[in-house]
Amino acid sequence: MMRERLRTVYEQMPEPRHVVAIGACALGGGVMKDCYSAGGGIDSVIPVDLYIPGCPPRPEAILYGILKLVTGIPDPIPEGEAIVK
Amino acid sequence: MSSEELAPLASRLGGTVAAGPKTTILSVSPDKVVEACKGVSSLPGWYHLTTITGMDLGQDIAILYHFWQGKRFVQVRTQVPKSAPRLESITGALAAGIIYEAEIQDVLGVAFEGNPYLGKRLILPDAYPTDAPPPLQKGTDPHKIKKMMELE
Amino acid sequence: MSDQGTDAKRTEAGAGLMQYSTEGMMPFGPVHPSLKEPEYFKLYLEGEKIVHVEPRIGYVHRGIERAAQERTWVKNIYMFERICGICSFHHSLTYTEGVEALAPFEIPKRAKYLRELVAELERIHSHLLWLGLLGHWAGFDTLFMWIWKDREHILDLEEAISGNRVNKSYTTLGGVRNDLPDGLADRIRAEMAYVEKRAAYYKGLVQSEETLVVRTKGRGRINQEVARKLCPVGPLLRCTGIARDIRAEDPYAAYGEVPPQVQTSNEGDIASLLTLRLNEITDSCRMVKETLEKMPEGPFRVNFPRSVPAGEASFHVEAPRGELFYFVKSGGGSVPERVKVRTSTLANILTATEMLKGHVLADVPVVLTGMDPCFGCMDRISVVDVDRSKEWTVGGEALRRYGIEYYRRK
Repeated sequence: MMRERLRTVYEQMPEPRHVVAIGACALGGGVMKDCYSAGGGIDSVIPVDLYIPGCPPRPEAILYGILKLVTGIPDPIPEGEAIVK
Repeated sequence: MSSEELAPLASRLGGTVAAGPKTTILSVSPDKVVEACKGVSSLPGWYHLTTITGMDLGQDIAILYHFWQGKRFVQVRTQVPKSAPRLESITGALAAGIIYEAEIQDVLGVAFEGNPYLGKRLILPDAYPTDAPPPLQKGTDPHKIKKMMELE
Repeated sequence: MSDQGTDAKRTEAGAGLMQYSTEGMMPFGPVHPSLKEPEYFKLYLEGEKIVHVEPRIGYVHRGIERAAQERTWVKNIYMFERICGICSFHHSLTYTEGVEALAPFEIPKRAKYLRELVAELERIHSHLLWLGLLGHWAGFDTLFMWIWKDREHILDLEEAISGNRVNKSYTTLGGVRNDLPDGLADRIRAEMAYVEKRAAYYKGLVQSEETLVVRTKGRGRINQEVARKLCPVGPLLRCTGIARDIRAEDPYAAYGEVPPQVQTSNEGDIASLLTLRLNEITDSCRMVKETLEKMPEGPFRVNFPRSVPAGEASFHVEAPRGELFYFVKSGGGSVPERVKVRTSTLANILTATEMLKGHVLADVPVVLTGMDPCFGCMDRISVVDVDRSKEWTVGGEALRRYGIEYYRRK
């Protein structure tokens, strides 16, 4: 049932939208992989743009990953006015 | 709580007492469980109901009521056959048992008559298939359950 | 309850949806998907007051007890410590000490002291986390930020000792994984002095700051009668005046030689829980320093057999939230036959439902956080208005803001 909820939340997000999978459980199930009530990674339900491994990932790792994602997005602001290069 | 102190309660209920390194176990038949738990919790000092454990022993399911007072665990123990997994709920006398019994109802399929969660699920997700065997019983294969829940 | 069919479907549909009841009641939502660890409380209201609460948990039910039967004894440590991130060390501690109780030899003394050291550090970080969260739910975000910044000091220490901030995997069967690195003892002492100073400051703050006092004084009041009937554990039990602490009653690790000073209160409300947990933080700082002083030299680990002798063991520890209980049964093999976990929050749910009765909706976030739930607060609450026969769902964030607004207008 959680899968449907995840799917619903994703479909409600307005575009542009990105999904970041944080932590080993979101990546591929983690240590609970073969528990009867735990699924695998979330990319079997929704498309994932960025994976941040760790159990749990360090705050620095999360920041680094998200910055990488954000600065990699094509910048709609014309050149010369961008804040983040 | 040593075996001697539990002996009068045991003989009144027709049960046996065994002392382990940290636990004193009072084994009774299923119909005497409520009496035994009431008896233990009214002994001097406050016997706090820690939890209720269920174990699948193959043919039977053992139900253990753990009590803690300050020095030793006291365990009231009983067994119900898998063919007739029913027991009277202690929630009438010990309200604290509601949650723990509901947990055993969900994962082992034992019915506690008188428990408000009988027929409803407390800890098992709604997605768990209703026709699948309870998860903690010996024959249940978690991978099959996952396939039924389409998690694999 | 009118239109319950669609209503029930809507309320169960999940986070992120606009939740609204029938007859054009004000929508409470949208709820953003901050699914920390959801839990479902059905609140029955009569007028403004809550008369009945029905919990429904299981949204993060993973099937760990069943999976434990297929993993070796050591592998299970890594799984059990991930049951909860905040009291993760206590989970692995209970499990390892429970399994070691089945084995016929003693583990080295130094290991016991190191276990106590890390356990108390975890208690400090957990209580600080809770205090910050309570500030957040009460609308006092500055407190939240300040406390969590102080908490970083503790997390850095835990990382220096074990290599990870959370899920430390520090304890293992037979002892601990590694010894205290050189020079860390002085740093620990310095950090403890810092934390004690901050705890004293926060204690003055929670007793005088309007925002917190108004929302916590007299709220969620329980007494000894309720406690004896519903058997809560931990600070929730001690705030009624019953002085029960597993560290004092049934010492494990090195608590026999470095015992705690059991903190109690007689008020039984959330405000007293604030002071009680701050006192526990100060006491934990004292214990950490004492552990460092008294720690004996020697090995920190012994070999543990791969197959554990047959037997049953019940073991419990005083986790930050209360008594954490494990029942371990070994059949003599390399995997456990049965491991039963009873977390402290499960024991406190009934008391929490009792605490909520008689309160208004605006008090719900603070009272529920007051019991320090180990699932990051409720995220899914269903409200049933008994008089008007209406039912609607409100999400955690919306409820938090409602609570803040309610008290601001008062």
